[in-house]
Amino acid sequence: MSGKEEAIIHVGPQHPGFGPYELVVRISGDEVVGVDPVIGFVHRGLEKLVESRRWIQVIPITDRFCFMDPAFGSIPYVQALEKLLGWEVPERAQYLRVIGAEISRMINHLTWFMMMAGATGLGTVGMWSWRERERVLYLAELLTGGRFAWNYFYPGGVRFDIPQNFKDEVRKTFEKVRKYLRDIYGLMFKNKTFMTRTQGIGVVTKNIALKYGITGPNLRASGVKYDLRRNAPYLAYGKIDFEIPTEKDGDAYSRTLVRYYEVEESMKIVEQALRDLPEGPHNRVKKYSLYLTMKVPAGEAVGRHEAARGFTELYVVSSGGLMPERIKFRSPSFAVIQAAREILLGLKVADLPVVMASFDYCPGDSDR
Amino acid sequence: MDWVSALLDGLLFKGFLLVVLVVIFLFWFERRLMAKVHTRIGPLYTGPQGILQPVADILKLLWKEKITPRKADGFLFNAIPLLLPIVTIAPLAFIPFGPNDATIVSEYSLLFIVAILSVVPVLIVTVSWASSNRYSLIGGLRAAASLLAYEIPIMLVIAGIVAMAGTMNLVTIVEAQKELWFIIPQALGAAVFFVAMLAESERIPFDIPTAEQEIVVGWETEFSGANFAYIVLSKYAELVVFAALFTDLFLGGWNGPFIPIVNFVIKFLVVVFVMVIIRAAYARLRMDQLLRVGWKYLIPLAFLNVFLARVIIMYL
Repeated sequence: MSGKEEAIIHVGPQHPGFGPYELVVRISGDEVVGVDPVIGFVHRGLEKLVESRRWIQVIPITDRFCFMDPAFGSIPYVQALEKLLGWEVPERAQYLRVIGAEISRMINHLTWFMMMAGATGLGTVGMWSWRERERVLYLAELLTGGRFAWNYFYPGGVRFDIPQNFKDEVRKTFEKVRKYLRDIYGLMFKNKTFMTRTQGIGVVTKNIALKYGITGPNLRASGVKYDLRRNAPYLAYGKIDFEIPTEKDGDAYSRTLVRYYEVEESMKIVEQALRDLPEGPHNRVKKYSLYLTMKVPAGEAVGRHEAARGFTELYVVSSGGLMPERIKFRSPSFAVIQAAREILLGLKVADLPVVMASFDYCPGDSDR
Repeated sequence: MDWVSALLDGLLFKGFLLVVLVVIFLFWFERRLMAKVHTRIGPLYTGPQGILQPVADILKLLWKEKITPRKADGFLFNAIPLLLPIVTIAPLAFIPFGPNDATIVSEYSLLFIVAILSVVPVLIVTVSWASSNRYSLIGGLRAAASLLAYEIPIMLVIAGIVAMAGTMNLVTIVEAQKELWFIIPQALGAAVFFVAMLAESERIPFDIPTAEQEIVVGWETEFSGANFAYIVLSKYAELVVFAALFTDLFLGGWNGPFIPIVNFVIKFLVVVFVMVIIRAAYARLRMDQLLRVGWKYLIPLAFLNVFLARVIIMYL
């Protein structure tokens, strides 16, 4: 350990506080001089798998691109299908989809807070986040019947309408989540030890972010105010008023802060959507048995969604049959891991888990 | 038969058995308190209110297989985990928790305590090397660097106390606090000592040498079964030593409205309480940040404290 010899260490894939991916890191002393990410440990061949599934059977698969955020793959998928089918989705369904997407975002961020807190050693914030996450998962269960994999977003609308007690439960839960947000602000963002661990660490400049195609909260933390929900509104986002939290510094602290504010914004969106929820059917398809034998006209379409982790896109090709010909999923985390080669240089080894956690890198959606 | 009663004393009350009981209690106390902060419950079922959980944990460890890595230095690897609890418990012999309750009363008790504790980093480095594991070695060196850096402020603060009390005898030092606890005139010293003792016990925010996210568990990585149990024991023994020392040096030991031992225990628990809350509330510092706090801030403050102590003596 003398002087500045170079050594190669493997961080991951089995490493507490990390995901199932590996970083082969070349270090000189305590500093990172080269990074070679190794991914693919969670490759499940999902894109190929859907080619032997009927259109509706693909939905449970797109739900599972990344366990933390169920709306991730399913919303762009059903949007693409609707383009191919030429279907117009009832307004109520669009609003319900927004509610689902935002609850999904909240779940993702609350789960992620535990990862971030764990990486920095701030166990308490993690524990409180998961306490709130349980509450929001309950809301998801009320809405969709599932906690993580929802099978909720169907081509033509959503699977269920809201239960009678939903608005009430939302109101009660959000009160508690807002209290939690107030509690952790001081504990996390004014906490000197947390600040020392995350400020100025893992800086992603605007240029790097744009060069690698980084999207989502990671991009917004680097000063680029781009959010698909605002820049190219889809579903019912065009009619809802919300802020796009943006930070300038691009360090781990900013990324944490952006996600913190996004939880509040998601709550606002859900409340507005519930308030303005139009009457009407929640799905244009009345007989669900139609889905099993559905054939989608030949063609190609793209569905897009600003998911919790970034901008996801699903490109669907149909040859007119019962099953998709090909789908291609654009993963926001993949951009991050590519950028990791550049971003992680110059960090200390101890910063690696902190920075990777701050990106909310999900090996599930990167590997598919 | 003096030595027989001394031996019994050392093994049972005011000795090893007492330490084990206190460690068990503190282990449970920490877990329940942290759980409360986390809005969880913590150990609940093993024994009334989960008080026997640490016993269950230690027993489980003792029954596990003791694995020695092939390339490890077998002797050191297995001997040092036995030494660690001995070295960390030994200072307790010098720490009084009542006017007649020190196992050893000596004019140099503080010196002995500091001297014994300074052996710990040596043991850690040796055992991490003996593990023949790259990560253990890195962890051991980090732990040693951290402990060395923070031992200096501790010794300096103790020097300030010694200057104020005029003696290294802990019993005398506590007696000297009958009117005024040293935490008042030595507030700066107390603060420095508190921070340094968190680092010496490898607790958050200074526990990076054994932090899970970096190099597995640092120098403790290769130890399983009984060896690990000894290491855990030594960690909590350190906690007891430092909390008791802090109580004696700054909080007036057993002086107070109730019977001496009760006064001491109350203050001791308050110190432990604060240490556990800090563990729940703070993130952990990176190694270089940890060292920076020690060298750049604590040591100069500790020097300042010695100077202040001198001034106070001259003018009070």
